[in-house]
Amino acid sequence: MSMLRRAFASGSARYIAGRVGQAALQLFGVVTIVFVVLRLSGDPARLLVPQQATAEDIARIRTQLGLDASIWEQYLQYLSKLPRFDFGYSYVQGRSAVDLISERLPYTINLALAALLLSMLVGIPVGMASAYFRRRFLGRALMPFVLIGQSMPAFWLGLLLILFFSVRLRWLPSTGFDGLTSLILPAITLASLSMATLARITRSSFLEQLNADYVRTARSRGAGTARVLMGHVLRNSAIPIVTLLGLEIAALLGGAVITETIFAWPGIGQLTVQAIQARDFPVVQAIVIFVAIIYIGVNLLTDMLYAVIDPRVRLAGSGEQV
Amino acid sequence: MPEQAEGVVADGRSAGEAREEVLRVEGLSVAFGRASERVALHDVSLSLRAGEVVALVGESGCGKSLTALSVMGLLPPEAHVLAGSITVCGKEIIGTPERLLRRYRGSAMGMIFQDAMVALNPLQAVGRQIDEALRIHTNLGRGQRRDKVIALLDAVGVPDPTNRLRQLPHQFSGGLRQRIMIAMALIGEPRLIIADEPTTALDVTIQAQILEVLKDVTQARGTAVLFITHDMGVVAEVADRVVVMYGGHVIESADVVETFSTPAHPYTDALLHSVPRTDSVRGVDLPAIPGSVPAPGAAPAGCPFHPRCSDATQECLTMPPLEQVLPDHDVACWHPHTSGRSR
Ligand SMILES: Nc1ncnc2c1ncn2[C@@H]1O[C@H](COP(=O)(O)OP(=O)(O)OP(=O)(O)O)[C@@H](O)[C@H]1O
Ligand SMILES: [Mg+2]
Repeated sequence: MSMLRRAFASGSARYIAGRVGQAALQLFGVVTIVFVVLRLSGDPARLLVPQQATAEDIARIRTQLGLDASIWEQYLQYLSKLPRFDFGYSYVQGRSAVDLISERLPYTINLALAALLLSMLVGIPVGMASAYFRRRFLGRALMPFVLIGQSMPAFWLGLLLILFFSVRLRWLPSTGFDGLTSLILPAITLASLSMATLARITRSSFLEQLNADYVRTARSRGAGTARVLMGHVLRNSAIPIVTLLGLEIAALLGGAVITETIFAWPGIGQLTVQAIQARDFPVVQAIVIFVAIIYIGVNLLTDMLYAVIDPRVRLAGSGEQV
Repeated sequence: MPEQAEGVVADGRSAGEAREEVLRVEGLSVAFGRASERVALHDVSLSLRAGEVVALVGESGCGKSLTALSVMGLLPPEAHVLAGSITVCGKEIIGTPERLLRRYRGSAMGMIFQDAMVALNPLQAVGRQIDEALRIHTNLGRGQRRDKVIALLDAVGVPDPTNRLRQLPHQFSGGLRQRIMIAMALIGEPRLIIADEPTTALDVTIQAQILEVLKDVTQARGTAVLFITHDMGVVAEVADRVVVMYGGHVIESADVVETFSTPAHPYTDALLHSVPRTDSVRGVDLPAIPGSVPAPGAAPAGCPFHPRCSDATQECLTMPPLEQVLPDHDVACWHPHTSGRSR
């Protein structure tokens, strides 16, 4: 932690303030675009009433939902409530959008963490090994698996896993949430792509660094494989890996639409699909804002991590050479 | 140059009392290519005794670095050793498994690389990089290791070592970085140091300081130094003996004074006449010898130098053996200059 403190102690308050301001602006943009686009997508009132409903019924519902006002009025009204974290109420369920999201969030976080852990624990070592042993059988044998993982669509892999482990072997539950075992199949499905991407980034980043002169220098001191990889190469190749990890974390926390649908997983992804299908504007808007905040936050964090990994990022241009 | 060469005799280091042999390279041949068709080192032999500084000289591409890397057991994976033996402090390097070689690197032998900016890990504090050999090869505690690192940094002339060992390589000037490299190679107190063009990347004034530091610390410890350079001016400053390479062959080997006063091989002679002026742009050799070094596999039949040699005859189409022409003076040439007529 002392490294973190040191990285941010010097004159980074202004940098952070700048970044936060920038983030607020981005968020405002996202809110506006989503608001407008959703209202162009169609009339939610039509979906809420039965087939045989009259025009008056529909009009009444539109008034109830506040959809009869002009888009400007609706927009200003919506914005005015945001500072109180009031994102409106679901048209379908009548409950607050924030409640709906926070109800789903633990499931998404569980799944995201499991998938992330899995893809890091497999992807990074596989990438490292295939780079280090690039001239040997192991290094060559690993990459085809990575390619398969990367090109296999989630819906297909998910169905295969269900067929094999749930239907045939009856080892694992196929759908819903019921303890840790039900986490396994969705986590594997969700992790397969990020695992493969992570392995590839790690491999290419390591390959580049393994040829660096400092590796030979380290070996000239008597450093062995583990020391060279963990003590020297890892940190030097960490920036692309961290960048990708940041994007993966954000994507996973935003909810895995396909995976959650296949496994009937009650997370944000499932909520998103339901809300979009019902034109449940407040819920969709709240989800989009939530996802945007996550992306912005993760981005900010990754940028800070860069400076911890490579202090030259922070010192650039300050001419601190003696 | 001759004044400097005499200086070496005056401080008596070359007055050859028989000291322990630290490095012996015998009949080393190294090649590249699937069928080892591009031979880069031909039957290279040389040896170093404790406390001795041997300069390995020759133009770019002569095989100096390959010789050095062979000794360290750090040849690139595409290079194959065809034949030969290398012993460091009596231990064989060729054919020894990596696991054992690791034990020798950093403790029996150390290497100083040319460009410290890229040869040091840019993201690790220099103190930790110097310390690494101690962490690997000794059981010393943290505090003891730190004291050793600080003392050595002080000895190689890094000011304020206690604070600066926490800094990263880019926070140092080129000269200081090279001093750090020297400390790094020496920390495990190896008997043999290989310095591969340690000053080529530096300004001339800094270059002189670095040579001074290197001489001081290695002399104080009786470390043998294989000093690789293509700068004959530097050779005169540091070396006790000179081994000249051309096209992967050792073509002359002699005491430094003899090398400068009576170079026997026409190539050595030509090298001496192409001594770069001290103010020449770094890295740029004066094109004093017309033609260029043959690439591995592209060498002409016989003596590789004959196409560029003014003394070449029919005989030179077969490779001359390395033979003694004077006591402690070997040369591989059919027409050696024997009377020092060049100077
Ligand atoms: N990895 C490699 N693959 C193929 N050829 C190589 C490799 N490394 C070196 N060589 C060739 O071997 C020959 C000797 O190279 P070496 O690096 O030993 O030269 P050098 O004498 O150190 O030259 P310099 O002064 O430029 O450092 C050169 O012709 C070079 O092209
Ligand atoms: Mg070289």
